[in-house]
Amino acid sequence: MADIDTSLVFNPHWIWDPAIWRILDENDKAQATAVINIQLDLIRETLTAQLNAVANLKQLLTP
Amino acid sequence: MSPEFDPGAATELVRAKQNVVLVGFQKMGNLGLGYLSAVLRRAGYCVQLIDIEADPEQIRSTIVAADPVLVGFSLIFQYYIRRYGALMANLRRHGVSCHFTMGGHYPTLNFEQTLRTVPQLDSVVCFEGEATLVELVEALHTNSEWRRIQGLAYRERNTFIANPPRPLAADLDALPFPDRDFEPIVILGRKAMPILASRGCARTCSFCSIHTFYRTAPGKVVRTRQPAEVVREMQLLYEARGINIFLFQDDDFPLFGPKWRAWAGHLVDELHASGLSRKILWKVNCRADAVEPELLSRMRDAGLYTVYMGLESGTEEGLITLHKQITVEQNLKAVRTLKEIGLRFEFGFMLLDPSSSFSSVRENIEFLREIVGDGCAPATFCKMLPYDGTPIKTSLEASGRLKGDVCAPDYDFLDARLDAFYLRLARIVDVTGWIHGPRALTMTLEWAHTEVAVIRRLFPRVPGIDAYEASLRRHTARSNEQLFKMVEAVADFCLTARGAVLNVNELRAGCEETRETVTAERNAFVTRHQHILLRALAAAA
Repeated sequence: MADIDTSLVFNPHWIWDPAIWRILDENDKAQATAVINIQLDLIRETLTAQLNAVANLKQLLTP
Repeated sequence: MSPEFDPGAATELVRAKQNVVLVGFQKMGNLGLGYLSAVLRRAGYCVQLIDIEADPEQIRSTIVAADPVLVGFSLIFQYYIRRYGALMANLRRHGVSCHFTMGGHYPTLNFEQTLRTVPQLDSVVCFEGEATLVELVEALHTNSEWRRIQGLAYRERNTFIANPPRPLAADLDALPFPDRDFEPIVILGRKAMPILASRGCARTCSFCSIHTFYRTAPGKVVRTRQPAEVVREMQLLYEARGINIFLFQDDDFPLFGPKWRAWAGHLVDELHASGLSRKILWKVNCRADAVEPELLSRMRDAGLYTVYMGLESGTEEGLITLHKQITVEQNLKAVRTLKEIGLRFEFGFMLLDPSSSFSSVRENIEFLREIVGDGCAPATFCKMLPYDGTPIKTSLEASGRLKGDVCAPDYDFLDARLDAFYLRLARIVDVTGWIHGPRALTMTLEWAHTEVAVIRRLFPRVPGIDAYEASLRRHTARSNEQLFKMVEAVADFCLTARGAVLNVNELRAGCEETRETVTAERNAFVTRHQHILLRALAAAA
């Protein structure tokens, strides 16, 4: 059978439904993951800045 | 005045340099953001639209690079609020110090809670935002006082202030056509776009905050555009972007009562007069009590191919609880009418609501059997959730049944066994991937049915389409029945603590097998006839 043309590919489009199942729902997980990722990013940056500050301080204190 | 100095031109030049960034949910195309963007661009500002689903790093770098005077956040679903909050905290940490504002139903009706939850916000644009947002941006741009702008809410020290609400836009045709900086949805090479013909809803369903939103602001609740203007926008989209399928996103498409029936009749006349009716398809959302055979037949002949109805319940008590102001018989009659006149339908349905009992669950399943047992559409259902700004949330709160929080509002059923039923059913539905999500069986079936309607209406006769549709209906009917039996089995088990224990792995395998079979049949059918489809697409290009 011939290949299907790209313009005719089956591509079901998910209509975002706000009234969803709340448990283990993909959307809940996506929201939680997105928030955690942003927060982790902030923590990572804060820690990196602090580590850099400590390293700089060490350098300054090193005779 | 010397030709070297023209203050008007100078102002325009300065204005053109100002950037505004709007962030929001862009899936399916966000016309709310599109309208805001259009009025800001008309006022001379450069606007960038960003999808909230984009990578946070990308959002941040785009905003930092744009150095905007304001970032506007559009909140459609209230459970996104913490995500928006985290994003704004991140932006502030990276030195984005411009004005942050937010708009939408939830922030409007809960501005205080919104400003508390997201301390990085400077203001909330309440109600319809076009005029208020332009004024706010103008004030920020000219460094003038913005706190007195009508329609704004903001924080002042430890208090929260809401200025008087701005009246709703009286003339929707005075607004520019919305910007559509997004790609269309493609269905078999035909392109689909959202569009609006009206704003507002005259009804008062207890689970919906739309009527609260529109009734709290001064002005006429439901406003319709001129049919000729709607068709002019459709024509432009057809000619400029090759759009063939129009998805009307109205809160409630104007069809109910003599005045709106006449309006819909004018829209049909305009579509015929423009020549578009033979080249396009369109879909509307409406109530079941607005479905009337004569008008809907006329609309079908002008390209209407799908009607979405919020049926919501198959029990009289459920419909009363949801304040639908409609009867089960009216819901059934609307479905029968659409089937008789050959229009496909989609529907919203709440299997569970605060008045639910095991008997209502059974009644609802029987109702679903009656409307989609023949496989004309895939079955779908959900639990009613008490969102902010809705009368049902207030009433659940008053009776002490409300639980959860802004991101996961919930309630207890009157029969505690129903809570157990819901937990079990939700887990099974989630694990089997039956109803929700891009790979869900319901979505696959829904899309396959949509394609059949598109092939029938926007392509030349394709041989074997009747047999293909019959097979799709058989698959749909079988999977619907499996879903119904699953719900009944879980209900029996929770009610009597007896009955067969469902094998989730078997259900998941069955669901996946049906999805694969439907997709394989679809692909075989389309591949077999793709020369006809591609020829029609090439001719239209």
